[in-house]
Amino acid sequence: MKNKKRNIFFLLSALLIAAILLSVSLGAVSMSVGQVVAILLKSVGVKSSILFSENQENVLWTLRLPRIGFAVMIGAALATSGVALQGLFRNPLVDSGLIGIASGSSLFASCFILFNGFVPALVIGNSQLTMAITSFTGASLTAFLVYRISQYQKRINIAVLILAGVALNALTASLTGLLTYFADDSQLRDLTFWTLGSLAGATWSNLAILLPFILLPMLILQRSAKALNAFSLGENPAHFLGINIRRTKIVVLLCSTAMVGASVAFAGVIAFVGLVIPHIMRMLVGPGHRALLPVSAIAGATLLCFADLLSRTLLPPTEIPVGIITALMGTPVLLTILLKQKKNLFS
Amino acid sequence: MILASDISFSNQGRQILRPMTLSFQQPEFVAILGPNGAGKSTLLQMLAGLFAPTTGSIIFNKRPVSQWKTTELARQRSFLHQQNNISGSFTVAEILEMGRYPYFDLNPSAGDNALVENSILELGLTQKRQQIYQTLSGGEQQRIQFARTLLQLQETDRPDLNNKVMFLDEPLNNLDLQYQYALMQQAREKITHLGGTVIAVLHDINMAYQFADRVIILKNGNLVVDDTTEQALNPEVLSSIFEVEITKFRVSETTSFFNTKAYARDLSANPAPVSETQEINKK
Repeated sequence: MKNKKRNIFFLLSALLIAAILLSVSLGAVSMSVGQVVAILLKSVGVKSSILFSENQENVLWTLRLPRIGFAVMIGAALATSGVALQGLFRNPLVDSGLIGIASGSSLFASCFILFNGFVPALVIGNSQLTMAITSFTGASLTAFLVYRISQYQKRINIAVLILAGVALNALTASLTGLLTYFADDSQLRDLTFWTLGSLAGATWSNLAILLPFILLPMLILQRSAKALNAFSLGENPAHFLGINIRRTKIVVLLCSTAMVGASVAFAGVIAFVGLVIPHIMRMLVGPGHRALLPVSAIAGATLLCFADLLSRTLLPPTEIPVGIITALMGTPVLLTILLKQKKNLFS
Repeated sequence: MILASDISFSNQGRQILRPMTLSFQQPEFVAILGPNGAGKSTLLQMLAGLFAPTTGSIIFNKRPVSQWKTTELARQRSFLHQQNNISGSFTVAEILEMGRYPYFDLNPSAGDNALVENSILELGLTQKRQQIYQTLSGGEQQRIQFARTLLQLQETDRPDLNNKVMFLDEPLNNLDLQYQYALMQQAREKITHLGGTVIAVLHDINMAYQFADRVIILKNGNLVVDDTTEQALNPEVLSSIFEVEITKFRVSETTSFFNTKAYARDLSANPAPVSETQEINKK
């Protein structure tokens, strides 16, 4: 059993490496893996016999590598937050997109774009960082709101939770729609980008801001694996097992929203990764969070790498927003979950 | 080892438990009985530290319950619920490992694993250790939950259960007779015989009569009886509490049982009705 989980872990890691290598070499400017290695070696001062153009070197350093970094980090973040939220709410249908956290975060991000000049108090000097914090605030507020709405006598009513998500999604969609009326051309382009999801905004400096928002929560959540397992027994049994219920809820909600908020700030709403990956990984390694969290992170990174590769290469020179691709892949999986688990999803 | 003085509980202006003082020794098997809505489960959860009493205080092993850390307390007492709906398809082994959660941080120690293995062996579930919990029968599920709750009390370095308490909240619901009996038997053998205390909310007077050292009876939030089993289970008192006539039937010198008069069918006064189908068949 332990060996099986380890094998799956290594297999997925190999897939991720394959996805990264493919993403590095394929695109408008293609380069071989050998050339990539040569370019990387050059940066540390080692000369190699493989030839490459200056253009290839530029594309690799300024476009492709930060973008792959984005895909890996955001894919891992979305999948991890999906696992954590599903564990907390005790339901496999909960996803940051479905219950409105992502759209709440994107609404705040949109407001930030539009009213940038009106909120100087928010500007910490670095506008990208401020954007991430604003987006995180939006995610936290919606998470708190859906949580309070769906709680009844210490229990989460899952039907209410999903419907609250529908309501919040509708509200944020209409408000974002309203914002587009007041937006000028460049703002409009940015807003569209948020609602569809894209990794085109990847730069090294953005990646540097993104990293702590994702790596830190990931480490903290891994330490909450035991608590999340205990939650599947129910809140009271978890309490009797020595789990601090209140603290676990706050930690899990904050970590998930930090990851989702930061992802949305830089890449918009990328749907279904947080729903599909945990579902498939649970079938592979079981529901225990100790294995499920890291395995899902790797799988999420792999999926988003591939999805972004498709978004860049399917219809050159245009890019299909990556959110559209993940939604196309995710919908069939969501329907499969619904069909297979009709009986006990809302109990 | 537990001293609850003048505890009461109110929720949204409604008084669920009126002030009462209770103490529990070790080892001891205490049954809590009473009609529906008497406040039995509330009392049990409060004694186990799920919430604080509205008035009064609960001392657990010489320290107020509120001063215990959640994890520390979890090593001293465990709680078996009447129903366990688990989300996610955990295996039998994974559910049992949860019993050791208060003892390890990230990964179980060799000692924890040894206790879990021993428990699987005793349950006779070696073949089913990787089976999904939900696919097992209700009886097996409850046995596994009992084993998990017991694992939560065991120490790796000593066999006894001194200073440990297991709370059971109507543990026999949905179990057939064979499992009901086996679970109570296990509670005696594996907890009270090893120095631990069992506090159980029960519905079945006979189970309490057979297994408990002491019986507490609640009615409408009041403590009405707290006595040794033989003294507490008095047919007249029981009849007035449960508002149905309860008789004690003596089977032999040493054994007797309780039943309501309504169950005993008096054939002479009220002959069993012949059903219509039987009448038709005769014709």
